[in-house]
Amino acid sequence: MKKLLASLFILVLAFVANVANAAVRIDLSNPGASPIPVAVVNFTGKTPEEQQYARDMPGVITNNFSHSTPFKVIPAKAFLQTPEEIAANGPKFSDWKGIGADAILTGSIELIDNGAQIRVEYRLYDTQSEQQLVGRRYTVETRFWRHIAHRISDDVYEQLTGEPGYFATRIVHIGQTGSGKASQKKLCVMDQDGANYQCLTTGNDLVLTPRFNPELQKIIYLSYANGNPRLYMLNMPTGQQTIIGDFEGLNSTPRFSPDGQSVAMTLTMGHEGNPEIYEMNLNTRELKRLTFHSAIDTSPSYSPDGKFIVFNSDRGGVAALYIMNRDGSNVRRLTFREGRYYAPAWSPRGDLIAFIKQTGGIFHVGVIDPQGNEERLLTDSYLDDNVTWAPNGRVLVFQRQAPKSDKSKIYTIDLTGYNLRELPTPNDASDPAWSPLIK
Amino acid sequence: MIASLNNPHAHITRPPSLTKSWGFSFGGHVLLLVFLSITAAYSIRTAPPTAIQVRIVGVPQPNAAPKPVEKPQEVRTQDSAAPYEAPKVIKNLPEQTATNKFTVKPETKVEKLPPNPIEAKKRPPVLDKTPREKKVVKNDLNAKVVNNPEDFLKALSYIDKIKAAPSATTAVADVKEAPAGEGPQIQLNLSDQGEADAIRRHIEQFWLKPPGVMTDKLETTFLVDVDTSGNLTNVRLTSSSGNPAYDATIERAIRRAQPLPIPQGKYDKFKQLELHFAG
Repeated sequence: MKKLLASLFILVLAFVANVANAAVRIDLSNPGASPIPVAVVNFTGKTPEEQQYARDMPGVITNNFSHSTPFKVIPAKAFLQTPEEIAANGPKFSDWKGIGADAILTGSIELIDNGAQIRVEYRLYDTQSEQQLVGRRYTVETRFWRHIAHRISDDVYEQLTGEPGYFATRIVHIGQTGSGKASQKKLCVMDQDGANYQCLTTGNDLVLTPRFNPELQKIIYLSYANGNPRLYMLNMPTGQQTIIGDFEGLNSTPRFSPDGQSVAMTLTMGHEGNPEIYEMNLNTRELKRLTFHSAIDTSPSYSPDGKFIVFNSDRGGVAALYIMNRDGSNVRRLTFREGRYYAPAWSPRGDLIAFIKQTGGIFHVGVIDPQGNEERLLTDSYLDDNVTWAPNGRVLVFQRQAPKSDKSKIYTIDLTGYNLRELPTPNDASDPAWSPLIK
Repeated sequence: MIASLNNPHAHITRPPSLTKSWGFSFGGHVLLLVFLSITAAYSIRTAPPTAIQVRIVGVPQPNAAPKPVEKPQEVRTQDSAAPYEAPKVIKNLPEQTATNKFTVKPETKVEKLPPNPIEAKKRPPVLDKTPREKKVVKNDLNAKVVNNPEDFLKALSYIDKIKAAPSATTAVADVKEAPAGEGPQIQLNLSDQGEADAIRRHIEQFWLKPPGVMTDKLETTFLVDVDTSGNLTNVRLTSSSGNPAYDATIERAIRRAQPLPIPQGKYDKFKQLELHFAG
């Protein structure tokens, strides 16, 4: 009885304690939408050379963020605290909150080894919680300073959005000089922001549709180097170029599998010139035919788990998108709306498939989920083509051609439909493909 | 590539005017006829088509080595071919060597920096992420703001109940298993509900999701303590969404919303708030 009373007493006590700590519950479910306001403060440096980098690196980062939908960059003229004051005393958070900054990026530059190497230290602060969110020190050969600026941009993007960034990346594409018969097409690469533009081939032969492999080392592309359209692989560290296979007819629209071990492509050999999709294992050189239809089947793209392939076919009477299992079985139609669909590209996140759509004389970049729902068109123009994804699946890159012109430029657009941006290239550019993150 | 299926702007080409084209057309047709008959004759003579169905599945090449390009294209040296040259190893840190398997990437030394000692002293209360106990007291009076007059009678019945039980405003009912993160809750009468709603609307004004990311619906719960003027004295994450960046946007919203509109004379009831965000 005593025991019972004691336990009852404890129960009552616990009850009272609970009541004393009780909270009023409030359910919130209606967020607004607004970019995160970020202040990118100039870094600090001691020597004039260091001070130059201390201005240039935040410049690269600011440029990245000002084209990125989740962020809003607060103009530097609004800042109340100088970089030197922050370095000496830390951020005065009330000032930064006062100008509306949610996050502040600060840093310092040090050149070491007689300037051969650059040491970059940065810190990202949350002004509301008044805490450092992340701080890192990078040391690298000085000529790679832009790469570090992109790495820091990716760190900040990941810290503030919870998703990987896409700034330390490159875009491979076809650069075109001249027009008509005098035109030359070269395989070219540039940083995601248009910097470090380089061409890898001479332009003597027509090249098309380059794609990065998942490990960044190789680019696969279509070339007319020996007179016929054939697929080649360029090993970038060695500069070695090898043919994937010399198959009769047209060889086109290659894409790496997510593990980089296979390539899906379109070949017209055999079946009276009708394009069919094949997969080649790059290790064994084994070739496997995946589609068996008298209609055109082309433009394969793997799902990120490597289990499915989306492709383009007119087997239903009009150009539409279809999905099949990787072995070619279970073909089902994905798009049913009016218009012609082309050039599908499966998002690296797996949640969406991008495509080019033609309705009347207008072309669109659009997305649809792999169940065939929620189709959205992001652009409309005279001619948009060759859409591919940034590695984080949040931004698309494609080529746009102006009316009455055979020239095109490369554009990026955010998945929200905002931030349409022409990438500055010295020459006309087409066939863009985004690299994986360079880490 | 669109071109692989059709010529997207073939329809743009306009035919030449009819009067001019008659002559061309006639001549062209004659030429075409001659050309066709010659090619037909030629093809019949030299190349009788034999329909051989070729089905190729798994053609292993005897030599695994790829066939080299006969006339290799001029490819500039590694300097230009690689996205980034393989720079000299500066100093390999364990965390970097793990990820740095690509020779085309710059060798980068990365070190994590601890919080700057300068601001370490003046940091605010640290976010307490210890989960709350799961056995909690459930609110049995799911009182809601009455928008529909028909609901008003139901609401009145609540008031009757409250009146019947002297300690109703703080009383607790059966102990039940509740979702993780939910703490013990105070029951609210109608006027309290309106005031809780005012706090909700106030914080929601400051709750902003960055566009283009965090597209999945996420849920987060914070437990906050306020002082009499509505300023926060403690902010605790009691149930994370699993995305720390999302939790951080919520925490910023709560902090930005200070001071919270705590109803006058009811501080004891509203001094601790459990804020559940879903969106």
